[in-house]
Amino acid sequence: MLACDPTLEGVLSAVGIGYLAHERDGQLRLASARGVQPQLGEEVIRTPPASEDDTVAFARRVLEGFARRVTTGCRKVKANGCPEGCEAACVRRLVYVAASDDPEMPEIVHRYLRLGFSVGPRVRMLIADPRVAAFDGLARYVAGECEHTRQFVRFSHMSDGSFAASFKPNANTIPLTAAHFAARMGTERFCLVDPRHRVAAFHDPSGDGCQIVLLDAALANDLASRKDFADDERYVRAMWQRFYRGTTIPGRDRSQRGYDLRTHWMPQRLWEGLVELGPTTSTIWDGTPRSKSQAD
Amino acid sequence: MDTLGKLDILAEAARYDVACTSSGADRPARAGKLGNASPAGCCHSFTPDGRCVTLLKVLMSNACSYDCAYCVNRRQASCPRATFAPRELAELTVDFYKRNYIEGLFLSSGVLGTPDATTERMIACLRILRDELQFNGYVHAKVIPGTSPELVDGLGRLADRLSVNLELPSAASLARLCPEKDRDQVMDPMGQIRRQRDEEERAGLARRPRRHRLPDPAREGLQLLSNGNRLTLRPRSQISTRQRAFAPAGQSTQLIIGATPEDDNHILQLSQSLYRHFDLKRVFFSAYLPMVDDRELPGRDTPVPLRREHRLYQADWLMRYYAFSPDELATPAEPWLDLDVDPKLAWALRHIDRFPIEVMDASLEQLLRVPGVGPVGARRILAARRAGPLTFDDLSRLNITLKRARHFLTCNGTRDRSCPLDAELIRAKVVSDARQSSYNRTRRMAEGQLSLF
Repeated sequence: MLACDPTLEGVLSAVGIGYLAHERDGQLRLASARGVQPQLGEEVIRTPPASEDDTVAFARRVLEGFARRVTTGCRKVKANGCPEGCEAACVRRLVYVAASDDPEMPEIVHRYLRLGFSVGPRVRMLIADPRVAAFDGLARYVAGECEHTRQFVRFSHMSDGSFAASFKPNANTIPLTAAHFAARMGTERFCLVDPRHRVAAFHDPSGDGCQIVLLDAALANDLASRKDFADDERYVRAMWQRFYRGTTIPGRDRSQRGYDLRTHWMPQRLWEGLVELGPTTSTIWDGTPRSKSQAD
Repeated sequence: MDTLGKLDILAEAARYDVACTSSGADRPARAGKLGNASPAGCCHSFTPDGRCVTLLKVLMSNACSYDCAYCVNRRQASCPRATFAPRELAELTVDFYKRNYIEGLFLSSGVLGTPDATTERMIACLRILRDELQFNGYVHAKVIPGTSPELVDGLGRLADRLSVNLELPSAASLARLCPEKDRDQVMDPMGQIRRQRDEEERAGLARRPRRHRLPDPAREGLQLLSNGNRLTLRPRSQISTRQRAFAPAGQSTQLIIGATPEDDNHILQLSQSLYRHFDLKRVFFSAYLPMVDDRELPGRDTPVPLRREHRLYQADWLMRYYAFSPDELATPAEPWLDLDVDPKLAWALRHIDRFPIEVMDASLEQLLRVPGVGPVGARRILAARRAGPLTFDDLSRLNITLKRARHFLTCNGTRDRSCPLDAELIRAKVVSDARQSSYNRTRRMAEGQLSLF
């Protein structure tokens, strides 16, 4: 068994090591170094850390080799990149899957890459194969978690004029969604932190896109627990809560349906940071009128 | 009254408008501007009953000079009234947007004096939002029946989507319940929006001719995620939304269900006609919630027709994504949709002689008729069968809902082992499963045997 860092670089380099060691299909298993549980008779070898330059370079070789293999025989790819998007689609899926927190992720990627290297472009067609289905299922889960990130991140206006948010997804989605927030909040300075994966995205309108930064535990917690809000923050939160409560129509809730549709769309594990489901307005808002109110 | 107080009144006043989508426009971020609009939209929250909250949906004012019988904001209603100042609402939108609460603004209003005066105020708000606050996000604006064409044009150049609410499914009901509105006041703006969008499309094609390629369904089945709009079987625009300056996300409408006696066949025929004549993106259905006492309307103790609304949405989906016609779902002879069984399953049970269908050679259209197989699942089957024969286990891995689909399919000529062969047994099993669902049991208890018409 190869115990690797559960990152894209860590898993790709581990797959490469298995290839160089001439291990046959079924004789090698990959697992996350964070929770190795060897089976009886299994030998565990720790792969080099994913942060090392050599590991990154080796992982890139594996990725490029895979991209070449899944486009083998495609005439268009020789002429003008990959207009059909096969190469990009496969690589994009790999990036999504590698962001998963699933402990089985390294082995699922391993089996998929082995299949891809074995059958070439046909791997794109084998969507009913158990190895591809497991891989696609993980990719869809992470894509869904990215959508949850885009939906349920809640920024707060801070006293220094910037915006800040903390979010705890079940996958490492901040690097995958930072560009979305940079496009959406192009005129604003913001920090989006994920204390669970210890990663943050920093955006400055004068710069180019977002900077993704890995954090230590203390800094991640500090950024996630900032409370130095701007003067208008409480009032805007109170308004959002009132708006949310005002949209509720009586006679259509869970008791009328037999199931909870809201929880289906908005998992309860993400409710912690949602202003609209937080403490009621009266405890949040201190009654200070909004300075820029344009009331008639 | 401060903004918080107004929001209290004007959000509650707007909640019966069910249209709340931020999809259909593709506008990238621009330097110096705030926000963008993506084709798929984004839901930022969900109400306790599961409705999506994607836009700041409020009325500009609930002081209305009209007296529509079903409306909580009608002239004669005794309720607190409020009106946003244009700048106040524009700033509120930006404040919410920057916090990732919303994708944009859904702007509607009671009739403040005249439709034109109201629309001018709405346009003033949107001009501040777009020009002064540099807001580049999504805007849905409501066209008030009777608004001048010039103002409809002005509104459409500031908003992504326009909607004119039909509200009642027949001219007779409209005349009875909305004395200040008539059919032409509603239809004229719809026709204008259609014409202007068609002109824009012709001009766009003249500038940049585009060869229309039909998408290959099997290739679509290989996609990791599908954009729902791409799976609709209705005709698509030949130019991108980026080439449009007027209502790039098209138009929609809303019908109130259960306030008037029109049957489901009538409503589905009307929806189909609206899709065809006005190229609507969506027809929304709103189950009537009895909130006002009026002798023309159902009593206040009448149950909300939630299941009927739900079945109508399913039927509407079947028309847009599965190529069903209204008469296949609710016939003139049997004009009401079955409340216990979804319309596709009900159709399949009425035509059980057409099943089972063989997955290895069925067309997209045939697969789409199988209960439990959706637009994505059908396309995945088309893609997966190119690689080899499929089994029921394979279908399960393709996320086909086998609980329903297994009765109506064969894989390589073989039926699923757990599936009865006799058509009547299949009918009894699937109907029993549907009737025992938690949703149906709860609604039957809530709705009881009460029936208005």
